[in-house]
Amino acid sequence: MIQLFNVNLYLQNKQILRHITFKIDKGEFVYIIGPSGAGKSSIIKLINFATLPDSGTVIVNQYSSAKIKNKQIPLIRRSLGVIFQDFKLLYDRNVFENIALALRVTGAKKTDISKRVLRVLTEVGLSHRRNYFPRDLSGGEQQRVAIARALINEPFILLADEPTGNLDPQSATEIVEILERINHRGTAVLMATHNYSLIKKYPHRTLIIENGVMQNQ
Amino acid sequence: MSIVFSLTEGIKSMAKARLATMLSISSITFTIILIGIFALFSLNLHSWIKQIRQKIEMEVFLKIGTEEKQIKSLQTTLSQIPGIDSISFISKEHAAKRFNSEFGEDVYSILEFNPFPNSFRLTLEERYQNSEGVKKIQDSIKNLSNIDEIVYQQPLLITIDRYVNIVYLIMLIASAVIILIAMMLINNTIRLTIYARKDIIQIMRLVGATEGYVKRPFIVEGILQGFIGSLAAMLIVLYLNKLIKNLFLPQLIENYQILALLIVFGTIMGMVSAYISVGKYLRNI
Repeated sequence: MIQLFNVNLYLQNKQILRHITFKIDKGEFVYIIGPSGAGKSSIIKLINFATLPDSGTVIVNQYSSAKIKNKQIPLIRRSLGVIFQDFKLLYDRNVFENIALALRVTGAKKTDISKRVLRVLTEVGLSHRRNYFPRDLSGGEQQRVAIARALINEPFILLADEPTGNLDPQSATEIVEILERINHRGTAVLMATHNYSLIKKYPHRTLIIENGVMQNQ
Repeated sequence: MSIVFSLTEGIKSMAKARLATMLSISSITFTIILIGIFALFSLNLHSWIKQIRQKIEMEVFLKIGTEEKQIKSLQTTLSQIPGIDSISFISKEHAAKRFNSEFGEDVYSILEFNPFPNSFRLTLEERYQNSEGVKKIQDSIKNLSNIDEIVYQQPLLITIDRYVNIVYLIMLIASAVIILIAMMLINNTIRLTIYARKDIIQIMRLVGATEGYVKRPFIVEGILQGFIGSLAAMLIVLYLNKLIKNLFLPQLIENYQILALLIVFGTIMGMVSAYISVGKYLRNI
Protein backbone atom coordinates (compact mmCIF):
# COMPACT_ATOMS: atom_id res chain seq x y z
CA MET A 1 0.00 0.00 0.00
CA ILE A 2 2.79 2.41 0.99
CA GLN A 3 6.38 1.53 0.33
CA LEU A 4 9.61 3.50 0.56
CA PHE A 5 12.55 1.84 -1.06
CA ASN A 6 16.11 3.07 -0.47
CA VAL A 7 14.97 6.69 -0.30
CA ASN A 8 17.48 9.53 -0.04
CA LEU A 9 16.41 13.13 0.39
CA TYR A 10 18.46 16.32 0.42
CA LEU A 11 17.29 19.80 1.42
CA GLN A 12 19.61 22.72 0.65
CA ASN A 13 22.53 20.36 0.12
CA LYS A 14 21.98 18.69 3.49
CA GLN A 15 21.05 15.02 3.53
CA ILE A 16 17.78 14.66 5.47
CA LEU A 17 17.02 10.96 4.81
CA ARG A 18 19.47 8.13 4.11
CA HIS A 19 18.53 4.83 2.48
CA ILE A 20 15.08 4.69 4.05
CA THR A 21 13.17 1.49 3.31
CA PHE A 22 9.88 0.44 4.92
CA LYS A 23 6.36 -0.62 4.09
CA ILE A 24 2.95 0.05 5.62
CA ASP A 25 0.20 -2.48 4.98
CA LYS A 26 -3.49 -1.90 4.63
CA GLY A 27 -5.15 -0.96 7.93
CA GLU A 28 -1.88 -0.93 9.90
CA PHE A 29 -1.07 1.53 12.73
CA VAL A 30 2.58 2.57 12.65
CA TYR A 31 4.54 5.08 14.72
CA ILE A 32 7.63 6.88 13.53
CA ILE A 33 9.62 8.11 16.47
CA GLY A 34 12.79 10.08 16.78
CA PRO A 35 14.10 13.43 18.01
CA SER A 36 13.17 16.74 16.36
CA GLY A 37 14.86 17.14 12.99
CA ALA A 38 15.38 13.40 12.61
CA GLY A 39 13.39 13.34 9.37
CA LYS A 40 9.93 12.23 10.53
CA SER A 41 8.06 15.11 8.83
CA SER A 42 10.08 14.60 5.65
CA ILE A 43 8.80 11.04 5.44
CA ILE A 44 5.21 12.30 5.71
CA LYS A 45 5.91 14.89 3.01
CA LEU A 46 7.31 12.17 0.76
CA ILE A 47 4.20 10.01 1.19
CA ASN A 48 2.01 13.05 0.52
CA PHE A 49 4.12 13.85 -2.58
CA ALA A 50 4.75 17.34 -1.17
CA THR A 51 8.37 16.52 -1.95
CA LEU A 52 9.99 13.92 -4.19
CA PRO A 53 13.00 11.79 -3.23
CA ASP A 54 16.41 12.57 -4.73
CA SER A 55 16.91 8.85 -5.16
CA GLY A 56 14.95 5.73 -4.30
CA THR A 57 11.24 5.25 -4.76
CA VAL A 58 8.09 6.12 -2.85
CA ILE A 59 5.06 4.05 -3.81
CA VAL A 60 1.57 5.02 -2.67
CA ASN A 61 -1.05 2.59 -3.97
CA GLN A 62 -0.54 2.45 -7.73
CA TYR A 63 1.50 5.67 -7.89
CA SER A 64 5.27 5.72 -7.87
CA SER A 65 7.45 8.78 -7.29
CA ALA A 66 9.52 7.66 -10.27
CA LYS A 67 6.65 8.08 -12.71
CA ILE A 68 4.23 10.45 -11.02
CA LYS A 69 2.87 13.36 -13.05
CA ASN A 70 2.07 16.71 -11.45
CA LYS A 71 -1.62 16.46 -12.31
CA GLN A 72 -1.87 13.07 -10.51
CA ILE A 73 -0.66 14.48 -7.17
CA PRO A 74 -4.02 16.10 -6.18
CA LEU A 75 -5.74 12.77 -6.86
CA ILE A 76 -3.39 10.90 -4.51
CA ARG A 77 -3.84 13.53 -1.84
CA ARG A 78 -7.61 13.01 -1.90
CA SER A 79 -6.99 9.44 -0.77
CA LEU A 80 -4.67 10.49 2.06
CA GLY A 81 -5.61 12.35 5.22
CA VAL A 82 -2.96 14.56 6.85
CA ILE A 83 -2.94 16.29 10.23
CA PHE A 84 -0.24 18.46 11.76
CA GLN A 85 0.97 19.68 15.11
CA ASP A 86 -0.22 23.23 14.27
CA PHE A 87 -3.64 22.01 12.99
CA LYS A 88 -3.44 24.12 9.79
CA LEU A 89 -7.00 25.37 10.07
CA LEU A 90 -8.36 28.51 8.42
CA TYR A 91 -9.15 31.00 11.16
CA ASP A 92 -11.42 33.18 9.02
CA ARG A 93 -14.04 30.44 8.55
CA ASN A 94 -15.97 28.24 10.92
CA VAL A 95 -15.54 24.54 11.69
CA PHE A 96 -18.10 23.47 9.07
CA GLU A 97 -16.44 25.55 6.34
CA ASN A 98 -12.97 24.30 7.27
CA ILE A 99 -14.06 20.73 6.73
CA ALA A 100 -16.30 21.44 3.74
CA LEU A 101 -13.33 22.96 1.90
CA ALA A 102 -11.76 19.51 1.53
CA LEU A 103 -14.93 18.31 -0.22
CA ARG A 104 -15.44 21.45 -2.28
CA VAL A 105 -12.06 21.10 -3.96
CA THR A 106 -13.11 17.67 -5.17
CA GLY A 107 -16.25 19.13 -6.77
CA ALA A 108 -18.69 17.43 -4.36
CA LYS A 109 -22.38 18.44 -4.44
CA LYS A 110 -23.68 20.95 -1.90
CA THR A 111 -26.25 18.57 -0.39
CA ASP A 112 -23.64 15.86 -0.16
CA ILE A 113 -21.21 18.23 1.56
CA SER A 114 -23.58 19.06 4.44
CA LYS A 115 -24.36 15.41 5.12
CA ARG A 116 -20.78 14.24 5.03
CA VAL A 117 -19.43 17.13 7.13
CA LEU A 118 -22.01 16.50 9.84
CA ARG A 119 -21.26 12.79 9.82
CA VAL A 120 -17.53 13.27 10.21
CA LEU A 121 -18.03 15.97 12.87
CA THR A 122 -20.17 13.52 14.82
CA GLU A 123 -17.37 10.97 14.55
CA VAL A 124 -14.95 13.34 16.29
CA GLY A 125 -17.61 14.54 18.75
CA LEU A 126 -17.86 18.13 17.49
CA SER A 127 -21.17 18.35 15.64
CA HIS A 128 -22.41 20.86 18.24
CA ARG A 129 -19.42 23.09 17.50
CA ARG A 130 -19.90 23.26 13.71
CA ASN A 131 -20.56 27.03 13.70
CA TYR A 132 -17.65 27.88 15.97
CA PHE A 133 -14.53 29.54 14.68
CA PRO A 134 -11.24 27.71 15.39
CA ARG A 135 -10.02 30.45 17.76
CA ASP A 136 -13.03 29.69 20.03
CA LEU A 137 -11.99 26.04 20.39
CA SER A 138 -9.39 24.40 22.62
CA GLY A 139 -6.23 22.91 21.07
CA GLY A 140 -7.66 19.38 21.38
CA GLU A 141 -10.88 20.45 19.67
CA GLN A 142 -8.95 22.16 16.87
CA GLN A 143 -7.02 18.96 16.27
CA ARG A 144 -10.30 17.05 16.14
CA VAL A 145 -11.51 19.49 13.46
CA ALA A 146 -8.29 18.81 11.55
CA ILE A 147 -8.91 15.05 11.91
CA ALA A 148 -12.48 15.50 10.67
CA ARG A 149 -11.16 17.38 7.63
CA ALA A 150 -8.59 14.64 7.00
CA LEU A 151 -11.29 11.96 7.19
CA ILE A 152 -13.92 13.65 5.05
CA ASN A 153 -12.68 12.08 1.80
CA GLU A 154 -12.48 8.63 3.45
CA PRO A 155 -8.72 8.19 3.08
CA PHE A 156 -7.07 4.79 3.19
CA ILE A 157 -4.37 6.19 5.48
CA LEU A 158 -4.17 9.05 7.96
CA LEU A 159 -0.74 10.69 8.18
CA ALA A 160 -0.33 12.42 11.53
CA ASP A 161 2.71 14.67 11.95
CA GLU A 162 3.21 15.22 15.70
CA PRO A 163 -0.56 15.55 16.21
CA THR A 164 -0.24 15.79 20.01
CA GLY A 165 2.78 18.09 20.06
CA ASN A 166 0.77 21.19 21.04
CA LEU A 167 -1.69 19.48 23.36
CA ASP A 168 -1.98 18.81 27.07
CA PRO A 169 -1.71 15.12 28.12
CA GLN A 170 -5.45 14.59 28.37
CA SER A 171 -6.20 16.10 24.95
CA ALA A 172 -3.27 14.12 23.50
CA THR A 173 -4.77 10.90 24.83
CA GLU A 174 -8.17 11.81 23.37
CA ILE A 175 -6.60 12.41 19.97
CA VAL A 176 -4.77 9.07 19.99
CA GLU A 177 -7.99 7.35 21.03
CA ILE A 178 -9.75 8.90 18.04
CA LEU A 179 -6.90 7.69 15.81
CA GLU A 180 -7.25 4.19 17.34
CA ARG A 181 -10.97 4.22 16.59
CA ILE A 182 -10.33 5.29 13.01
CA ASN A 183 -7.74 2.53 12.67
CA HIS A 184 -10.16 -0.10 14.03
CA ARG A 185 -12.54 0.82 11.24
CA GLY A 186 -9.85 -0.07 8.69
CA THR A 187 -7.99 3.18 7.99
CA ALA A 188 -4.24 2.86 8.29
CA VAL A 189 -2.47 5.41 10.53
CA LEU A 190 1.10 6.63 10.33
CA MET A 191 1.87 8.83 13.30
CA ALA A 192 5.12 10.74 13.74
CA THR A 193 5.67 11.53 17.40
CA HIS A 194 8.17 11.76 20.20
CA ASN A 195 5.56 11.21 22.90
CA TYR A 196 6.85 7.87 24.21
CA SER A 197 4.25 7.55 26.97
CA LEU A 198 1.48 7.44 24.36
CA ILE A 199 3.33 4.73 22.45
CA LYS A 200 3.57 2.69 25.64
CA LYS A 201 -0.13 3.14 26.33
CA TYR A 202 -1.22 2.34 22.75
CA PRO A 203 1.49 0.07 21.38
CA HIS A 204 1.92 -0.54 17.63
CA ARG A 205 4.75 -1.22 15.22
CA THR A 206 7.28 1.54 15.73
CA LEU A 207 9.87 2.82 13.27
CA ILE A 208 12.80 4.62 14.86
CA ILE A 209 14.61 7.31 12.91
CA GLU A 210 17.71 9.21 13.93
CA ASN A 211 19.70 11.69 11.83
CA GLY A 212 17.80 10.59 8.75
CA VAL A 213 18.62 6.92 9.23
CA MET A 214 16.01 4.27 10.02
CA GLN A 215 17.30 2.26 12.98
CA ASN A 216 15.03 -0.78 12.69
CA GLN A 217 14.06 -1.10 9.03
CA MET B 1 -20.29 24.95 -7.60
CA SER B 2 -16.68 25.51 -8.44
CA ILE B 3 -17.58 28.84 -10.08
CA VAL B 4 -19.45 29.99 -6.96
CA PHE B 5 -16.46 28.96 -4.85
CA SER B 6 -14.02 30.80 -7.13
CA LEU B 7 -16.21 33.90 -7.14
CA THR B 8 -16.64 33.92 -3.35
CA GLU B 9 -12.95 33.32 -2.79
CA GLY B 10 -12.06 35.98 -5.39
CA ILE B 11 -14.20 38.56 -3.60
CA LYS B 12 -12.79 37.52 -0.20
CA SER B 13 -9.32 37.86 -1.66
CA MET B 14 -10.04 41.40 -2.86
CA ALA B 15 -11.50 42.33 0.52
CA LYS B 16 -8.43 40.96 2.27
CA ALA B 17 -5.99 43.17 0.32
CA ARG B 18 -8.29 46.18 0.12
CA LEU B 19 -5.68 48.87 -0.41
CA ALA B 20 -3.81 47.01 -3.14
CA THR B 21 -7.12 46.14 -4.80
CA MET B 22 -8.20 49.79 -4.78
CA LEU B 23 -4.86 50.80 -6.28
CA SER B 24 -5.14 48.15 -8.92
CA ILE B 25 -8.74 49.05 -9.84
CA SER B 26 -7.82 52.75 -9.95
CA SER B 27 -4.93 52.02 -12.28
CA ILE B 28 -7.23 50.04 -14.58
CA THR B 29 -9.73 52.91 -14.52
CA PHE B 30 -7.00 55.41 -15.35
CA THR B 31 -5.63 53.21 -18.14
CA ILE B 32 -9.01 52.57 -19.70
CA ILE B 33 -9.93 56.27 -19.49
CA LEU B 34 -6.79 57.15 -21.46
CA ILE B 35 -7.38 54.35 -23.95
CA GLY B 36 -11.01 55.44 -24.28
CA ILE B 37 -9.96 59.03 -24.91
CA PHE B 38 -7.35 57.89 -27.46
CA ALA B 39 -9.91 55.67 -29.19
CA LEU B 40 -12.56 58.37 -29.41
CA PHE B 41 -9.95 60.95 -30.44
CA SER B 42 -8.74 58.60 -33.21
CA LEU B 43 -12.29 57.99 -34.33
CA ASN B 44 -13.03 61.71 -34.53
CA LEU B 45 -9.69 62.44 -36.18
CA HIS B 46 -10.32 59.70 -38.71
CA SER B 47 -13.78 61.05 -39.52
CA TRP B 48 -12.49 64.63 -39.78
CA ILE B 49 -9.64 63.62 -42.09
CA LYS B 50 -12.04 61.57 -44.18
CA GLN B 51 -14.18 64.66 -44.65
CA ILE B 52 -11.11 66.68 -45.71
CA ARG B 53 -10.01 63.98 -48.13
CA GLN B 54 -13.48 63.78 -49.64
CA LYS B 55 -13.22 67.47 -50.47
CA ILE B 56 -9.97 67.00 -52.35
CA GLU B 57 -10.46 67.61 -56.06
CA MET B 58 -8.10 67.68 -59.04
CA GLU B 59 -8.49 70.35 -61.65
CA VAL B 60 -7.12 69.40 -65.07
CA PHE B 61 -6.61 72.45 -67.28
CA LEU B 62 -6.65 71.98 -71.03
CA LYS B 63 -4.46 73.73 -73.55
CA ILE B 64 -5.96 76.82 -75.15
CA GLY B 65 -7.43 75.92 -78.48
CA THR B 66 -8.39 72.33 -77.67
CA GLU B 67 -11.29 71.47 -79.89
CA GLU B 68 -14.64 70.12 -78.74
CA LYS B 69 -14.08 66.74 -80.36
CA GLN B 70 -10.71 66.45 -78.57
CA ILE B 71 -12.37 67.49 -75.28
CA LYS B 72 -14.97 64.71 -75.65
CA SER B 73 -12.31 62.14 -76.44
CA LEU B 74 -10.27 63.31 -73.42
CA GLN B 75 -13.34 62.99 -71.15
CA THR B 76 -13.79 59.39 -72.36
CA THR B 77 -10.12 58.65 -71.65
CA LEU B 78 -10.34 60.20 -68.18
CA SER B 79 -13.42 58.19 -67.32
CA GLN B 80 -11.44 55.00 -67.93
CA ILE B 81 -8.63 55.90 -65.51
CA PRO B 82 -8.99 53.95 -62.23
CA GLY B 83 -9.57 56.05 -59.09
CA ILE B 84 -11.55 58.83 -60.71
CA ASP B 85 -15.00 59.00 -59.17
CA SER B 86 -16.63 61.81 -61.15
CA ILE B 87 -15.66 64.17 -63.96
CA SER B 88 -17.28 67.53 -64.57
CA PHE B 89 -16.35 69.77 -67.47
CA ILE B 90 -15.78 73.46 -66.68
CA SER B 91 -15.93 75.44 -69.89
CA LYS B 92 -13.91 78.67 -70.25
CA GLU B 93 -17.23 80.60 -70.18
CA HIS B 94 -18.22 78.92 -66.95
CA ALA B 95 -14.79 79.70 -65.51
CA ALA B 96 -15.28 83.37 -66.43
CA LYS B 97 -18.66 83.39 -64.68
CA ARG B 98 -17.10 81.81 -61.66
CA PHE B 99 -14.41 84.49 -61.60
CA ASN B 100 -17.14 87.06 -61.78
CA SER B 101 -19.05 85.58 -58.87
CA GLU B 102 -15.88 85.09 -56.78
CA PHE B 103 -14.26 88.47 -57.40
CA GLY B 104 -17.24 90.61 -58.42
CA GLU B 105 -15.57 91.77 -61.63
CA ASP B 106 -16.16 90.85 -65.24
CA VAL B 107 -12.98 89.43 -66.80
CA TYR B 108 -13.91 91.01 -70.17
CA SER B 109 -13.91 94.48 -68.65
CA ILE B 110 -10.35 93.89 -67.37
CA LEU B 111 -8.73 92.02 -70.25
CA GLU B 112 -11.19 92.32 -73.13
CA PHE B 113 -10.88 88.57 -73.69
CA ASN B 114 -11.48 85.37 -71.72
CA PRO B 115 -8.08 84.05 -70.53
CA PHE B 116 -9.44 81.01 -68.73
CA PRO B 117 -8.81 77.59 -70.25
CA ASN B 118 -11.34 74.80 -70.37
CA SER B 119 -10.88 72.31 -67.55
CA PHE B 120 -12.11 69.10 -65.98
CA ARG B 121 -12.81 68.89 -62.25
CA LEU B 122 -12.24 65.38 -60.90
CA THR B 123 -13.37 63.88 -57.63
CA LEU B 124 -11.56 60.75 -56.48
CA GLU B 125 -12.53 57.36 -55.13
CA GLU B 126 -11.94 56.94 -51.35
CA ARG B 127 -8.82 54.78 -51.66
CA TYR B 128 -7.19 57.36 -53.94
CA GLN B 129 -7.85 60.25 -51.54
CA ASN B 130 -4.25 60.36 -50.36
CA SER B 131 -1.02 61.79 -51.71
CA GLU B 132 0.06 58.49 -53.22
CA GLY B 133 -3.30 57.89 -54.96
CA VAL B 134 -3.44 61.43 -56.27
CA LYS B 135 0.11 61.06 -57.62
CA LYS B 136 -0.89 57.87 -59.46
CA ILE B 137 -3.84 59.60 -61.12
CA GLN B 138 -1.71 62.61 -61.92
CA ASP B 139 0.88 60.34 -63.59
CA SER B 140 -1.85 58.71 -65.68
CA ILE B 141 -3.18 62.08 -66.84
CA LYS B 142 -0.17 64.32 -67.29
CA ASN B 143 1.06 62.77 -70.54
CA LEU B 144 -2.31 62.79 -72.27
CA SER B 145 -2.53 65.20 -75.20
CA ASN B 146 -3.99 68.68 -74.74
CA ILE B 147 -3.33 68.71 -70.99
CA ASP B 148 -1.79 71.96 -69.83
CA GLU B 149 -1.69 71.69 -66.03
CA ILE B 150 -3.02 69.58 -63.16
CA VAL B 151 -3.77 71.37 -59.91
CA TYR B 152 -4.69 69.90 -56.51
CA GLN B 153 -4.03 70.58 -52.83
CA GLN B 154 -0.78 68.65 -52.68
CA PRO B 155 0.72 70.24 -49.51
CA LEU B 156 -2.44 69.53 -47.50
CA LEU B 157 -2.46 65.88 -48.55
CA ILE B 158 1.22 65.44 -47.73
CA THR B 159 0.72 67.07 -44.32
CA ILE B 160 -2.23 64.85 -43.48
CA ASP B 161 -0.48 61.66 -44.58
CA ARG B 162 2.69 62.51 -42.70
CA TYR B 163 1.30 63.73 -39.36
CA VAL B 164 -1.74 61.52 -38.95
CA ASN B 165 0.36 58.39 -38.86
CA ILE B 166 2.70 60.00 -36.32
CA VAL B 167 -0.27 60.91 -34.09
CA TYR B 168 -1.62 57.34 -34.32
CA LEU B 169 1.82 55.92 -33.56
CA ILE B 170 2.29 58.14 -30.50
CA MET B 171 -1.13 57.11 -29.18
CA LEU B 172 -0.35 53.46 -29.81
CA ILE B 173 2.97 53.65 -27.93
CA ALA B 174 1.39 55.64 -25.07
CA SER B 175 -1.40 53.03 -24.82
CA ALA B 176 1.11 50.17 -24.73
CA VAL B 177 3.09 51.88 -21.96
CA ILE B 178 0.09 52.59 -19.74
CA ILE B 179 -1.33 49.10 -20.32
CA LEU B 180 2.02 47.70 -19.20
CA ILE B 181 2.00 49.87 -16.06
CA ALA B 182 -1.57 48.82 -15.23
CA MET B 183 -0.67 45.16 -15.73
CA MET B 184 2.30 45.57 -13.40
CA LEU B 185 0.02 47.04 -10.73
CA ILE B 186 -2.50 44.20 -11.12
CA ASN B 187 0.42 41.78 -10.97
CA ASN B 188 1.52 43.35 -7.70
CA THR B 189 -1.99 43.16 -6.23
CA ILE B 190 -2.33 39.50 -7.12
CA ARG B 191 1.10 38.84 -5.60
CA LEU B 192 0.01 40.50 -2.35
CA THR B 193 -3.27 38.57 -2.22
CA ILE B 194 -1.47 35.31 -2.95
CA TYR B 195 0.85 35.87 0.01
CA ALA B 196 -2.04 37.10 2.18
CA ARG B 197 -3.87 33.85 1.38
CA LYS B 198 -1.00 31.42 1.49
CA ASP B 199 -2.67 29.39 4.29
CA ILE B 200 -5.72 28.53 2.24
CA ILE B 201 -3.55 27.80 -0.81
CA GLN B 202 -1.46 25.33 1.22
CA ILE B 203 -4.55 23.73 2.74
CA MET B 204 -6.32 23.43 -0.62
CA ARG B 205 -3.28 21.67 -2.03
CA LEU B 206 -3.09 19.46 1.07
CA VAL B 207 -6.66 18.24 0.62
CA GLY B 208 -6.19 17.54 -3.08
CA ALA B 209 -7.19 20.66 -4.99
CA THR B 210 -5.87 20.76 -8.53
CA GLU B 211 -3.63 23.70 -9.46
CA GLY B 212 -6.40 25.00 -11.73
CA TYR B 213 -8.78 25.04 -8.78
CA VAL B 214 -6.24 26.90 -6.64
CA LYS B 215 -5.59 29.44 -9.39
CA ARG B 216 -9.19 30.15 -10.33
CA PRO B 217 -10.12 32.52 -7.45
CA PHE B 218 -7.14 34.72 -8.33
CA ILE B 219 -8.08 34.78 -12.01
CA VAL B 220 -11.63 35.69 -10.94
CA GLU B 221 -10.12 38.44 -8.81
CA GLY B 222 -8.27 39.81 -11.85
CA ILE B 223 -11.43 39.64 -13.96
CA LEU B 224 -13.44 41.46 -11.29
CA GLN B 225 -10.78 44.14 -10.92
CA GLY B 226 -10.68 44.59 -14.69
CA PHE B 227 -14.46 44.73 -14.97
CA ILE B 228 -15.01 47.18 -12.10
CA GLY B 229 -12.10 49.39 -13.20
CA SER B 230 -13.16 49.53 -16.82
CA LEU B 231 -16.85 50.01 -16.02
CA ALA B 232 -15.92 53.08 -13.98
CA ALA B 233 -13.64 54.26 -16.80
CA MET B 234 -16.36 53.77 -19.40
CA LEU B 235 -18.79 55.89 -17.40
CA ILE B 236 -16.20 58.63 -16.95
CA VAL B 237 -15.32 58.64 -20.69
CA LEU B 238 -19.02 58.71 -21.59
CA TYR B 239 -19.56 61.68 -19.27
CA LEU B 240 -16.50 63.53 -20.61
CA ASN B 241 -17.58 62.89 -24.18
CA LYS B 242 -21.05 64.30 -23.53
CA LEU B 243 -19.61 67.26 -21.65
CA ILE B 244 -17.18 68.22 -24.43
CA LYS B 245 -19.84 67.65 -27.08
CA ASN B 246 -22.31 69.91 -25.30
CA LEU B 247 -19.85 72.61 -24.37
CA PHE B 248 -17.38 72.90 -27.25
CA LEU B 249 -17.69 70.40 -30.07
CA PRO B 250 -21.23 69.50 -31.11
CA GLN B 251 -19.88 67.50 -34.07
CA LEU B 252 -18.01 65.11 -31.69
CA ILE B 253 -18.86 61.47 -32.41
CA GLU B 254 -20.29 59.31 -29.62
CA ASN B 255 -19.59 55.65 -30.19
CA TYR B 256 -21.22 53.24 -27.77
CA GLN B 257 -19.57 50.22 -29.39
CA ILE B 258 -16.14 51.60 -28.50
CA LEU B 259 -17.34 52.32 -24.96
CA ALA B 260 -18.59 48.73 -24.60
CA LEU B 261 -15.32 47.46 -26.03
CA LEU B 262 -13.46 49.35 -23.28
CA ILE B 263 -15.16 47.13 -20.68
CA VAL B 264 -14.32 43.98 -22.63
CA PHE B 265 -10.74 45.16 -23.03
CA GLY B 266 -10.34 46.10 -19.33
CA THR B 267 -11.79 42.76 -18.21
CA ILE B 268 -9.49 40.80 -20.50
CA MET B 269 -6.54 42.89 -19.32
CA GLY B 270 -7.40 42.03 -15.69
CA MET B 271 -7.71 38.36 -16.51
CA VAL B 272 -4.47 38.14 -18.50
CA SER B 273 -2.37 39.94 -15.91
CA ALA B 274 -3.85 37.81 -13.11
CA TYR B 275 -3.13 34.67 -15.11
CA ILE B 276 0.50 35.68 -15.62
CA SER B 277 1.10 36.64 -11.97
CA VAL B 278 -0.68 33.60 -10.53
CA GLY B 279 1.53 31.32 -12.62
CA LYS B 280 4.57 33.20 -11.39
CA TYR B 281 3.85 33.51 -7.65
CA LEU B 282 1.93 30.34 -6.80
CA ARG B 283 5.07 28.33 -7.42
CA ASN B 284 6.65 29.93 -4.33
CA ILE B 285 3.83 28.95 -1.96
